[in-house]
Amino acid sequence: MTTTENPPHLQRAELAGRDRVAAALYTDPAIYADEMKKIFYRTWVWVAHESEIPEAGSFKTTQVGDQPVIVTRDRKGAFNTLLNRCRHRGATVCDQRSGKANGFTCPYHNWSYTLDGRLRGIPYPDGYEGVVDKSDYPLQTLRTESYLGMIWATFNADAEPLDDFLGDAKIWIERFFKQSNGFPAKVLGTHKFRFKGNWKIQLENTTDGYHFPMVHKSWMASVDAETANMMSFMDDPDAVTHALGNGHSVAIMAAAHADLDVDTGEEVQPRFAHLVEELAAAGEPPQRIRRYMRSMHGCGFNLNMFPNIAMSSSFFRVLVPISVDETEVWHMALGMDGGPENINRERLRIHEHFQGPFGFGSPDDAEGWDRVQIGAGGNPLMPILVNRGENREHVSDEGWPTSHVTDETGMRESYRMWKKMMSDE
Amino acid sequence: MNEALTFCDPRVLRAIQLVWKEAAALDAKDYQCWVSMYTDDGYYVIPIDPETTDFESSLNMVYDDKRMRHLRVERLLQGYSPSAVAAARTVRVVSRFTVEHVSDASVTLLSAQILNAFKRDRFSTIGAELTHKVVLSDDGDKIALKVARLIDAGHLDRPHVDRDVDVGPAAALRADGHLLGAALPGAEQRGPLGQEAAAVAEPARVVDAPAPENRRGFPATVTKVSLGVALGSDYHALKQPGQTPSPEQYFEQRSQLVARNMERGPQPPPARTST
Repeated sequence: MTTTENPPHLQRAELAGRDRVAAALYTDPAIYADEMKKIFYRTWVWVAHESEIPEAGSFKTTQVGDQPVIVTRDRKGAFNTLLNRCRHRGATVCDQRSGKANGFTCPYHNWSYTLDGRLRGIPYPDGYEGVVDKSDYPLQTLRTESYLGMIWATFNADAEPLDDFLGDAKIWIERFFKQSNGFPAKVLGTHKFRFKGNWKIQLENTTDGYHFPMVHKSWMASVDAETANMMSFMDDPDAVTHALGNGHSVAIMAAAHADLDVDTGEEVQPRFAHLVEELAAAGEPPQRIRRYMRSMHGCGFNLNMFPNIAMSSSFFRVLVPISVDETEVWHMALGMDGGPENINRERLRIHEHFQGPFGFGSPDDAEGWDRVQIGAGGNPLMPILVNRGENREHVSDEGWPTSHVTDETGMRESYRMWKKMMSDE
Repeated sequence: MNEALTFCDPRVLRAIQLVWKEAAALDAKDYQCWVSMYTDDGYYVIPIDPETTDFESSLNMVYDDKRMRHLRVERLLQGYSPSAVAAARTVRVVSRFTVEHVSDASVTLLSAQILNAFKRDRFSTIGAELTHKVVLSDDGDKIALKVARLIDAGHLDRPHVDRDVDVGPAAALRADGHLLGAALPGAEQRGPLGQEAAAVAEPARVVDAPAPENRRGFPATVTKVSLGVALGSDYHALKQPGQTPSPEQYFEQRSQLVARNMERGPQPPPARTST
């Protein structure tokens, strides 16, 4: 139900201003369809972490925008992203979430493909003699590039190199992985859930420090005082958000943990005393133990990368658009591959406490997001405000627009990129 | 023992009675009753991996020991969680029991659960395989382990599944339902999105001290600011002027607040007088 006329679709990009966007960006199916074409089919979309496809033959399935893809590691160790669609009659060739295979065979007529997408075999080929040359019908392949084990893919053959697209976000990706303490990072498990709301509501949330003490009050009330203190950034002048360009931003909640190489001399949280004891008994040197303890909660910041992946303190937060008013969210828990198992287990418990459909945090986020979608249907032209902290935004020494972590600098950066991409032909 | 006699065994009947009592308590949102039905060393688990029995080394949706169960109930009843305040109504049916183990000390039951939930004009149905290990005692039978395996858990992270995996109370419903928030009458009036948020948003009340200079070092002390954030307007109701609570005082005040909130249930918001 709306109280005004629908906006003219030809002026979609105009619906996003510098510090406010029309609510139609959440609710208009035509805008959503345009976003698939102009954003999700044109830019780099995150598809996997290398630990999810650790060996030759490993694969996972996911989506790029609304299109189903398979991400594989082939015999040469290269990453491939393949459209999950048989070239014959269109059935998906892989129905598993993840696994290990020699290739993919369509269940319908058993056309089979290699790990890098080449058409390997066609049953009863006599009907295709002189009709089909197998080399003409590989699975559609997306450009696939990676940085520090993070894998992105794009349908756009002319997209800029991933390196350029990430730009200054690379500095923060590197800092994020310092929580692995020299071990390779490993995805330990994934919480998946959906909410009834537009994907950009989730995109905004990762850079929204403002909601934390209100929405997550029940979580704050359930943790130890030191953890509550760590997340009490509302008046911390060191807690800032930087806009990094290309829609990316970083929100630093706990500045003392922004670079985990630096030992600020803080006391180890009493809640981890049992780990310290176990690690000491196992012969870990004290400085090493301090390093582990510093990274228990992750890296102290949320790196939000346009359009679908955040590296959020200690986990990956992936968004998968389902429809204009439905979004799937993955919270991927991380650990150290080969690192101390007691720390990996403790990280799982910390993750379960906040994240996932039964955590003490995610359900409250989703409650807010559901209600944004319902409320935003009230008047599609009434603006959604992303202007908090405009009065104190400045440019940092690095050249990044910067304001307080509770401000909406990160959202403004995302919508700047949205507007740029949606203005394209 | 043949099948017919299994369900005449009073030990088995006691276990089934407890499982049904638990289901009724959850539908009634009587979480105090629910939390008292577990042994001190008991676990309540909703796994993600459909096969695993090594829950400790796996990521689960729920992996609750006694401490986490109590925190969970606090969260559901306290009125701070917007999703718990808006929780769905539920009706669950537990049946198709099979007896895996029976002795004078304990009974292990497998069963099927169908949970129907309603929230915001939407119905959802969730199927789950339940395992209960019930410890029999003259002092009262208790649950030593409950594992709820959702039938879609093995596919939870498949992106192309035509099913609806909501979060929030709707999701809580979709799963085992234990985590459904309390539909406390009037709770929305004091929920975090309402009056309490307004209180927190008043800077003069929340931040009445400069930011602690030692913030970078994360000392193991509690500042007024974090107390205010953690406890919201309740904290300000308790705080004496010019007093910085110690960590011990923090926990004492917190437990008093929790006890008070749990006992009295939700209160209407205080009348706001304009000045």
